[in-house]
Amino acid sequence: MTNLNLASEFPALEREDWRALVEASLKGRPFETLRKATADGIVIEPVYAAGHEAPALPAAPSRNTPDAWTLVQRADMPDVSSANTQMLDDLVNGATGISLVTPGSISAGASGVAITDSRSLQRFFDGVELDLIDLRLDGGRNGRDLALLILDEYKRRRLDLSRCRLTLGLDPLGAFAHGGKVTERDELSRRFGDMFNLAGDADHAGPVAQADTRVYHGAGCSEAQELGFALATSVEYLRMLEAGGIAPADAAARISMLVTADADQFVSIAKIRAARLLWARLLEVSELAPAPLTLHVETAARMMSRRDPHVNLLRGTTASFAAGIGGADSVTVLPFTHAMGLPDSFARRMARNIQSLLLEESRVGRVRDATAGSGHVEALTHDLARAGWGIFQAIEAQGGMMAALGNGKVHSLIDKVRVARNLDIARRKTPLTGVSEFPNLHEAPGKVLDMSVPADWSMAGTGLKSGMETCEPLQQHRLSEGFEALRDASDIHLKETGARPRIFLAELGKPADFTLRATWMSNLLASGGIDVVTGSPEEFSASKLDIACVCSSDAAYEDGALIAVQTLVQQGARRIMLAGKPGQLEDQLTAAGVQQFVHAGQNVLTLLDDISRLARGEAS
Amino acid sequence: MQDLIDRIVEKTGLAPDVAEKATGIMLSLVKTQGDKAKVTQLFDAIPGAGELAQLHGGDGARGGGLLGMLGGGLMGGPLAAVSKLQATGLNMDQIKVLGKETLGYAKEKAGEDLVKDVANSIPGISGYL
Repeated sequence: MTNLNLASEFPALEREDWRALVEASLKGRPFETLRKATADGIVIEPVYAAGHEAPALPAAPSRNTPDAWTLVQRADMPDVSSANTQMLDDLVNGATGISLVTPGSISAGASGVAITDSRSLQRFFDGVELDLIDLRLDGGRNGRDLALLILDEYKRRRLDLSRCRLTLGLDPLGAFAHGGKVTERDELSRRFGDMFNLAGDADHAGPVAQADTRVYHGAGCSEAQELGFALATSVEYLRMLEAGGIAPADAAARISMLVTADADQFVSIAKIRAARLLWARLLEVSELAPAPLTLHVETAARMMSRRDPHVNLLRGTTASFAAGIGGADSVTVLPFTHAMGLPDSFARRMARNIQSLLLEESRVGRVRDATAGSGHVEALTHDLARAGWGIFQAIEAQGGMMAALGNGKVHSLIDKVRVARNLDIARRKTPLTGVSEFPNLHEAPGKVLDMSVPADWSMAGTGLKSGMETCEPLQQHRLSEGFEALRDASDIHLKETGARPRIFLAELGKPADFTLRATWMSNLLASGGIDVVTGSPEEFSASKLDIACVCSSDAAYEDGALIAVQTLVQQGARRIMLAGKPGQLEDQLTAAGVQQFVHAGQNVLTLLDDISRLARGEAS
Repeated sequence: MQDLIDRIVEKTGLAPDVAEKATGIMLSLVKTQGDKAKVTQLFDAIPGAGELAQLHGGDGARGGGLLGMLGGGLMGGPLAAVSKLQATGLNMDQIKVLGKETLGYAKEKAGEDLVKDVANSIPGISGYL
């Protein structure tokens, strides 16, 4: 049997050959225009050398379970028995883990299972075999009390906790960032240490503390910041636990991490791989024995849109694929209606099925670290790890994560990134499908459940009091909020007046001339909730509208833009715009009455806000 | 009641005021978590128990919102009680002695059957006994 070398039949190509072809197709544009940068300024090259040709890098450790990650579904319906029904449905239909979200959690929003005491907890777990599932607690500010109740429940059932998969998920710093208050340091260290000992005495061997980055991601942080904060939080917990009497080696084994994955697939993959690299490095410099990190990934709330919510199914798919490929031990997909309210059973089934398809049909979990050796992913992983370590050092220089939250350093780091990203979104340099691009103005509203947490809800616990540290709570935002506010205003206008805010698109010349820009313009307007009426400039007065936008090709503008504008002025247009850049015609057209030239690259959010207000009669 | 506290002071070496508070927390767990009728019966048999539970465990209002919180009670369950005892300054050995002595004392005063009934009505306690 001879080895076939199929590649030998093709001519050998060097990087320079490829580069020459690229230069030719760029037609004079510089090569650098093909480069992109992440929020941290990490450059993404158009092409990379194969991973094995790149300089030798340490391998990213991979998932702890070889065949599959744990498919985790959220339990967050306020009504305990509804939450129980939903959980049982999830567990018999593919979920292998449950994330119990109670109202104090940073991810609960207006929901969360309203567990008040051991009795309601028993009702919630009715029919669930706790030793067969992976249970993750997401109690937020009630984390400690919830953990105590749960441990009691395992004990009541006389389960061997050392064989159960239970993640207590205590994250006081995340709750601090979210709520602006936390027990003062010495007391927190002591309680943390006590909690570790209590869990240990109950034979619990899983993760107790969790460095959870969702609150930072929701506030707008970058990937490197997310990694840096996760690391700094872990180190802070190690320090607190040491002060609370727990040896670092014991503590390190019981800290887990929760990071996000979003619709940027490669960056998400690299981020998750980098988290493991950084953890390994942290143990190394702390002179602790190498130990795997328990890494959970939740798809990002920040990327979820209220408008065109079905696009969220694609976002969730991309993000959970990235999470799985990147090496998460467990993954939660937010249901596609998450941003709209409390997801119904259908949305939850879809979230579950996204992962079931990846795991059972595509068998994505069977390949260990599938992106290893990809030049792009390897380079990005290490760039992100380096940048993450830099952020970690910057936080340490402030005196650790708690101090950096207290003095606003974390806030200022995040703000800088968020402001830049928001500008990119407003300019549609970062497009949001279904929101800033390809919006559907006439979509039917999505369905969510109407169920709320009782106003007097509280969780039975120790009732311990203590002094508090304070910080500015990190406000949570979604990327699509700016556009959605305009769409909401449009909905209200429709309800009140029977029509959406509208403007007139004055189409000039033949369809071949105006179709491109008229379509572009009506899509842009729809992203701000503004409807259009189309017609020739002469038909403007019949439309009974105030605002007009002239749409056509550059050639047609040469011939007739000026006359069109004059016609619109004569017919009483209060505001005239023109789609496209005017070139040499600018002065003439401005003099004739064009107040705004609309083209790609502008801050369309302020433009749409302005037009929307005008069309709704709010401003002149 | 005082004789129980004295026993605990003797067996654990705790200061009398700490022993009193710890006993109060223990009784508060019973009061907030146990079957109401049975607990009333038990506390009637142990003079001072109800007052001590009230004093150190709060009013035990479950799910009582802000008022419950202000009462400082809201005892969640056995582990929450242990956690609160730890915060009071007891170590695990002392907590075990406290539990044993309180149980023994209750049996002396109210009889073994009633104490067992009350204990069985507290969710989760069986896992620790």
